[in-house]
Amino acid sequence: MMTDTATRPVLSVHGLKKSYSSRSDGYAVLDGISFDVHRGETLGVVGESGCGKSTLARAIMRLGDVTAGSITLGDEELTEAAGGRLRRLRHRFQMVFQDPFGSLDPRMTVLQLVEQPLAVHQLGDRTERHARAIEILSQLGLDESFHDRVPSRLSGGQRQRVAIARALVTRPELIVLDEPVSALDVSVQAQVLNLLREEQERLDLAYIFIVHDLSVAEYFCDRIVVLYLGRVVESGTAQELFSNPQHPYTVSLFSAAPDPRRAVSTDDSAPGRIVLHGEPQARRPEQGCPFASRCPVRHDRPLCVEKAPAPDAYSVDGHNAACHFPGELKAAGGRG
Amino acid sequence: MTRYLFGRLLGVVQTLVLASILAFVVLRVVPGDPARLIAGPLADKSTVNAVREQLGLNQNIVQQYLHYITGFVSGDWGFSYSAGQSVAGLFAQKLPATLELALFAFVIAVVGAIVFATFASYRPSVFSGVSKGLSLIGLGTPQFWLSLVLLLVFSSALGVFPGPSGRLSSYLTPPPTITGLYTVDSLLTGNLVDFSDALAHLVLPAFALAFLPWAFLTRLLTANLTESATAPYTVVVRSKGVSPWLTHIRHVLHNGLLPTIASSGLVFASLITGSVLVEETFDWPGIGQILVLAIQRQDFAVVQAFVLLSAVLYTILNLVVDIVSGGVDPRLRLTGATR
Amino acid sequence: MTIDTVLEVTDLHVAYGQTEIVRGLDLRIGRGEKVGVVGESGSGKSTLALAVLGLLGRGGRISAGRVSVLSTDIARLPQRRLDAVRGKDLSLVFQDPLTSLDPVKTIGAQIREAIRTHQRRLTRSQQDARAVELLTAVGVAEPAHRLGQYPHEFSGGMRQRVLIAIAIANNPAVVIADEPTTALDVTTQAQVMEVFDGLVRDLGISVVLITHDLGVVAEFCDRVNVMYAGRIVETGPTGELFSHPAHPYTQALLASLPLPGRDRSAPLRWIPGAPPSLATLPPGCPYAPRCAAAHETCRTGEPALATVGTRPGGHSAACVLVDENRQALDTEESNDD
Repeated sequence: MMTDTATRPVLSVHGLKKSYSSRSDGYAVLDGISFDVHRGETLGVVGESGCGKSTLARAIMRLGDVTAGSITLGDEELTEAAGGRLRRLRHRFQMVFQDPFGSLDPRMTVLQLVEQPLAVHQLGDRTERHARAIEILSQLGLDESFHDRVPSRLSGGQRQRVAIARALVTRPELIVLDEPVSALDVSVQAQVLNLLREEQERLDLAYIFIVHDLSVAEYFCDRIVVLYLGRVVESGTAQELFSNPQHPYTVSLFSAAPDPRRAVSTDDSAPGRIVLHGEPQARRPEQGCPFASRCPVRHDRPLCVEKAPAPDAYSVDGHNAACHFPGELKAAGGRG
Repeated sequence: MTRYLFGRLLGVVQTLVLASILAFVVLRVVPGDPARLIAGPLADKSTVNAVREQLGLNQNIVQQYLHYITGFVSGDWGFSYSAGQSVAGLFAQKLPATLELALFAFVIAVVGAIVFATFASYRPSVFSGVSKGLSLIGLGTPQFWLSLVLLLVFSSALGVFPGPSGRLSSYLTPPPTITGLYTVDSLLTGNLVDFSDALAHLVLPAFALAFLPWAFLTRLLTANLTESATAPYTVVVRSKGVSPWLTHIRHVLHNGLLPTIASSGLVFASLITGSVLVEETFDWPGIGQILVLAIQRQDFAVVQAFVLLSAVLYTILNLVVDIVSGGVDPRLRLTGATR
Repeated sequence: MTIDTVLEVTDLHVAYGQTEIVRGLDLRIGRGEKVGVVGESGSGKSTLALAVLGLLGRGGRISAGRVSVLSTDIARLPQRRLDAVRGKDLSLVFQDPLTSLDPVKTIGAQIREAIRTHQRRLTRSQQDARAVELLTAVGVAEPAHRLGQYPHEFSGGMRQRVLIAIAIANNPAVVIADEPTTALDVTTQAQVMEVFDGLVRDLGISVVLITHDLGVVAEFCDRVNVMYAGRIVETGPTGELFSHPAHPYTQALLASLPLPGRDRSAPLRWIPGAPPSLATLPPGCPYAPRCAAAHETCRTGEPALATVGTRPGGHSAACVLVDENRQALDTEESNDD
């Protein structure tokens, strides 16, 4: 095992499990999630609503306890940190929410909003905090004329840039981005994505990017984990996953994403569509593959119904898929 | 569902125990010596002590509380020396009058609020000003003042309704007690003379009592209705070709009423416990009158019973409201069962 | 207007107070056509949907223009006559499936309401039978059982199917769908768009899809209209418009999409500035302040839609550049004569 700090992950999640104490049956909404995120890297988390994306984001941010497993930030075990120790760690990992309106105090000015995290974490004195906030804001294209505005006087894209400035200002190692552009118009979304990437390159940041827009995921993420009913069904580099998906769920999910190229293509070069039937159940079956009942390949194979596939049932060069019959399903035309 | 109800009942008992302890302690720590009041200013020390012992006031407060609460549960609410009879008997005698007044006031307030709020939210440009103005007046008008004005105008000047002469004209005999509500009992026994007289006596105090809760409910309901009038589902209903008025009645009113049901229980409870001033003005022989007397005379037993009864009333009405809400709101039915 | 035109909007102006939100808009929907209206927030596309249905909220009004549904101009129709058209010839599938159904009424009651409003003589059991038929048509399993359930017992995708069932209850000529899949997962979105496809294919219903999602439009629509600042700035057959966008706004919009297979290392293009405030619209083309290709003439007059290229199909764009190109083309052609 390497201990070199250059190669050690910023965040390491291992065997993460979360069940709610209010559920007497102990059903886990996250069940055995493991992944690493390295410096300068974006890990995308994709899946349908109810797959556990947001629960995972909250668990990593320690906005709630986990049932089992570990979340390690550098050499700190986050699941064991609490109270003052957790508070002192918080400036190292930050979060940006989907709705920039709900996450910004409407009575505070832009400058106050960006200075606030520094004051909360007692980083620097007043003048330093002030200078740092102004610096971050200007990097995100918000000049002096914005400093004294309140959130209601900002556009959606500007609000989201303020939210990003708040996350960046404490110089974190990791930012969890929970659907940061899905409430924005496409033209503005592009600008915010560009800024996120510029800051990542400049500061060697690690991102965990919760996203439902698959074209954004493909463009922005280095690696991707696909969640289905609280389990990782496939993971690998974005390029590999989009060009050579192995799990039938991944294949169907990717093919369902609307693709503007389909309007243009006259031949069959654009990928065909697989429409999944049914919806994810509220919970995994007791046994067998969680995707078996919706699997477009075949859902009656004894193996699939009886035994849940291991997370690395398919494993080639860091590309893993939890499927007994990987690669059987291909979207017509194939993508990439 | 049974588990849910059991949990709720447990909560009710908890609330009641807490309320009774609070009421008991507060009344014990206020200055004043009930034994001295009963014995009279001229009684000597030993007489006062004897009275104190008789009342159990020389025991410690825990013993006093336990003694009182076991008595209360078994129907012995103590003796009211100011009225010269048992507290339970006193309440049994006076409560129906208050209940009748509160019920009428409640119906007036609720129906009035629904009518005003419905129109105010349907045509804001025309009705909301009127509704808003009236409800502001309602929230700011002292009840005793309103009572006096109503009496002056409708009784003294116009002579439409009887003056402050209690529940029934003195020349009539009250109907036999069945429910204790004169209007109901007279109807049940077919005594229309009593009925119309009792009703006439009810109108002014009921209106005086209803005005404030009407104003409160109108404002609340108007806000709720205005909110559901702009909800996406009303746009969808209108897109079906349903007329604006039908949409308002069928969908907006139904949804807008739900939050109001929750507060109407508390409104009813406050009508029963808050009718003191109106009862005084109209010489209405209800709980309010004996309560005023009891407070003036530091008649612990009555005040204590009243506070405890109020607590029982509030918690029970809250429970009723929750059950009713579950009946009319399908979303609560499910969560209620699994909660 | 030919018999095959089911909805025709002519020079529509919609105003809230003194502010025009829709500023002279033409739209023609043929029978069985799938027409998209795309635009960003504030472009006026949702106002267009409500205006066409006569459901503008308080303060909103159609200040000029015609909205013809099957040859009847409904823009000036009195309330009662308008109610007879709404839900019968023209209906709506609304944005958010979570809030578009009355939470305290059963699904059955809400579908029956749509049926009974226009088919008064049907008995309760006939209405129920029709409701089951409708739910089956939109792919809701166990329809008879689900009639007695409440909206909160349905998933988002299933609620959207119920809303579609309500919209087609009386076999309308046109369904206006305002962002029908925005709140849904891509997998559910694909299912719902299949249902819409079925309406056109099997029932001959025309669909107007109003959305911000260029991908959905690209896959679903025969024709696309791009809205900006209350007007249509480009319109054309979907394939043509996506492959040869003529208006600088459409071009910039398409360039800002992180398309699959795009070079990951290159930054995305984005449109500087923000859409103009409609209350204080500058003279000239409303896109000019954000337009990379803008020059002096753009700031004086607002261009009208002009035909793009020579191919048939009605591709046109409201841009001075297009107009200039065409004039050049025209002179070339006349030179050829």
